Amino acid sequence: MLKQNRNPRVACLLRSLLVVLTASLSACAKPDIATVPAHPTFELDVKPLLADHCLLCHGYPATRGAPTNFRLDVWATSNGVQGADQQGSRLVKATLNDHMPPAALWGEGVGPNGKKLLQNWQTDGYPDQ
Amino acid sequence: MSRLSAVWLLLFAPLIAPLAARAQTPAPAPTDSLPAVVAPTASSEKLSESVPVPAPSSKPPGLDFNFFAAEPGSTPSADSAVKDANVDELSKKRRHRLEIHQTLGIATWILMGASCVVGQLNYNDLYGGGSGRGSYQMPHRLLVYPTAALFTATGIYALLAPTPYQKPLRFDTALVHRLAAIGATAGMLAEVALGFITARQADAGNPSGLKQMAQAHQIVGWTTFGFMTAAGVSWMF
Repeated sequence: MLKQNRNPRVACLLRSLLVVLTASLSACAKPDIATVPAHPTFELDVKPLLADHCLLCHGYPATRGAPTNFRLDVWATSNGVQGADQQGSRLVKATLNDHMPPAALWGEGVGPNGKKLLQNWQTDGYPDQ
Repeated sequence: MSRLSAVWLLLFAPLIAPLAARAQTPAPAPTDSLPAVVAPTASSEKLSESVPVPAPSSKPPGLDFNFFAAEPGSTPSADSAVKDANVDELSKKRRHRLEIHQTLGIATWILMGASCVVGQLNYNDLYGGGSGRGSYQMPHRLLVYPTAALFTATGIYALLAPTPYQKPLRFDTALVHRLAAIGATAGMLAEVALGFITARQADAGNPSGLKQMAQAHQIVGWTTFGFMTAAGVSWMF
């Protein structure tokens, strides 16, 4: 029945849509970091990772509906806005659970090496430098 | 056989039956080629045994013709009647589907216009020095999904409309409409891809090239809306 009703023009349109959607699935996220430092610090290792995956929304000012009471582009708290020093554990937890960034749900998060870096940072007690 | 074809056959049965019967009987030889009186000979008697000779008509042969009968080559047969019925049926189907296509097209055009306006507001908010809060993100998303769905449905209805008769390709409003629709389809495919990539990239928190991607999405969006408008306006003339 389906075979009888198949229109070549409709099939061509649907095939094009499939190609476009498949092409759209190509890497939207930044690639995973190549090496994992054993003792990462915020300024040297964590901040570049956050710049690639988090600061689009959690910078200053917060954008795209992100909370405005904290920012991840600086370490210290200033002008009543908390810095990364207050958000370390929350940041690591949200990233490891694939809650953040939002596309982590579809496998476009910080990557396995990025997660390992954050775990190492957590193990060391969230050092700044 | 469809019901309509059967009705056609019933209507034309009185016309078709004598023609069919006439086609089965051998055609009489032209009278002017025959001698007025043929004397019965041995050879002609033998011939009359093997070949059936048409019975002599009571009417004079010169007046034995059907004034309304068409030429043998152009007689409407049962096949052509069925064919006509099929063309009629396909034409009705085509009209019905194109009416739906038109309604869906107008709805798509309205939704696409709204999507473009809200998308522009979203772009200004996120990249054009706005608050950056993303207040228009959700309204834009809520508009573009039904727009894409309606656009696809509109296109499918146009493609599924049967073409019972072939029309030569010439520059007219139909051609302008088709070209604009092809442009709109290409734009829509690019729009879906660009929008999808931009949204995924933003969700991944990846800022590299995001603004350029959003800009391309915005330009292609307005262009696609322009094509849709051209497709609709071309049908008014």
